[in-house]
Amino acid sequence: MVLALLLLALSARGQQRPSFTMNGGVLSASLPASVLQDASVRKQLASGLTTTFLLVVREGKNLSGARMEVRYDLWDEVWLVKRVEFDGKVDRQRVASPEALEKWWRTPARLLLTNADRVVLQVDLSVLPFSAAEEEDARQWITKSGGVGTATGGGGGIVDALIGTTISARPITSFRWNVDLALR
Amino acid sequence: MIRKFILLLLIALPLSAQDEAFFIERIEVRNHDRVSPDVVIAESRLREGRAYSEAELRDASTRLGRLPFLLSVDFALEKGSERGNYVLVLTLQETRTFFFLADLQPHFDGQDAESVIPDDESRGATSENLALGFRWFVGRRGALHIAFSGGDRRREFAREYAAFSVGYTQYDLFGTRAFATLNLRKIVDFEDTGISPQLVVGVPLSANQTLTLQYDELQARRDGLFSILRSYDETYSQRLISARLSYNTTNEPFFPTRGVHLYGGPIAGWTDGEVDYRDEPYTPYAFHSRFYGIEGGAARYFELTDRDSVWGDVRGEWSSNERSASNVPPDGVIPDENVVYGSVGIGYSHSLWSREQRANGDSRFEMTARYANRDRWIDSDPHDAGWRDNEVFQIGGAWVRRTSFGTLRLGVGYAW
Repeated sequence: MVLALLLLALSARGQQRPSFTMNGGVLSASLPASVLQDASVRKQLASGLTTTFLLVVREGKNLSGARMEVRYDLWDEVWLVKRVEFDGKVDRQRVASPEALEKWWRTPARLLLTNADRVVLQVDLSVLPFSAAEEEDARQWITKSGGVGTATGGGGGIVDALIGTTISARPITSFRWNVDLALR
Repeated sequence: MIRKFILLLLIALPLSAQDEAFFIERIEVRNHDRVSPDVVIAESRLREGRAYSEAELRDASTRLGRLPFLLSVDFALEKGSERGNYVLVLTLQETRTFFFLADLQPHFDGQDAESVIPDDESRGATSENLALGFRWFVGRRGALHIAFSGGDRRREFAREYAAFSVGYTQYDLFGTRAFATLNLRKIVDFEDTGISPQLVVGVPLSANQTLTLQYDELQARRDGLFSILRSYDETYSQRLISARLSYNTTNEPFFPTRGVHLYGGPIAGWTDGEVDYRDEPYTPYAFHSRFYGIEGGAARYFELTDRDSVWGDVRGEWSSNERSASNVPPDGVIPDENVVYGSVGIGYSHSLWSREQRANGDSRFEMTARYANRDRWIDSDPHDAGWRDNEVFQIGGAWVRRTSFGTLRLGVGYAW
């Protein structure tokens, strides 16, 4: 079921806002193309290295999100894109044109499972250089040094993986939207 | 927010399947004026003709970001000479030839609190309170500097003095990516002093791990000192040797806002001296001490938002000092000592600048709090042996400004 949503968004940066859809109890967000047109984002996208887009959604005490990675392959002249949604579903594609990249970018990312009639969300989008996986290195160093680090995860789930792997990298830029959604 | 911290501490799974390796046929440094491109490449620990993953390139980027002579470095790939090969382009934002690090945050105390916390520990990463000078890159892998450094840093059983110094750093030592710095220091506090050498050798074990070995020697003489109605002359010599293994993923050299810093290592030292009283009936005496210890610490910095950062750290040190004298000095015995020191600190900082402005530095306001405990065991005097506990709480606020010239911290604190 797709519902038309009432979006009351406050954007600190005056950017275009994400649009939201509800389908089968899953809230999805389609991100604005203006993010890709931001000068610092465009510069990173052209670097030939991965640009990571970390989408974190807070609904009260609940935390969820999704992650997108985009890398332009300089030799094949295609964009290698990946999307990891809140439930761990991974989608990988090769897109050949800026138009196709924008179309993929605007495809709604599944963010949150909810049965509420109304949700108030804080949506943060961080744009990070390089791909994910910083904490693993630190943990290995502690473990090898005889410290207190542990070798495997504690069941933090996909949200941990989405957020924990990338959050300590310094964002190139970030966006925040506060939204109040009537879902029924 | 709490959940976020928990998430950060939980084990994270690397998900990136796109983290393929890039064969770097050439490394090109752009926008360099004063800094030697060879030094930048050496300090990145990357080599031409090898393949690197994005994780390795990111670590190199973070490592370069900690160099005091660079404000920022952008990484990008360009096509190489044949398919599958790449040119790694490093675009620099340099600091100036003149540099300074001024950490001026006096703490007012309600009791004898300030002696508990070493000055360098009030924030986290700095090790000196004042340093300023000029740096020139010479040749392909060398750097010459002249500088003045303050001497307020307190280390158990060792003395540190303000000094003028001339130094040379050789990077990429013998093609190993190691560096060595030789400083020749002229101590300001002494009238009749020779040149005190200092040698620092850093061996990067990986992009984030460094083994640092340091040797300091100080020989000096002061005449006409005065203490409790007695005037005297003093000769003093000190030798310090230390080793430190560190793991560092922080983003800036002095006041980082994100990353991890773990370190630990031993220190040993020897001091010798003579005190020659000018007035009867006091007799001259010579003293000698041998001290050793081990220190370690861990700090974690989190960027909460674009402008806000918090940090927490723990530090500890154990050291022992065995002392002897040729005869009993007028002030009494010279006891052996053991010191156990530990501290826990937290802090918050807020950038006054937007992200775009911070390409050329930063301007931050910070608040800090620290608890420290120093237990001192004195065991030579049978009538006065035992532990002397001293603990202190410290809070402070400061303004931190990083520019292309250096870093300044101005603040004030209170300890009780």
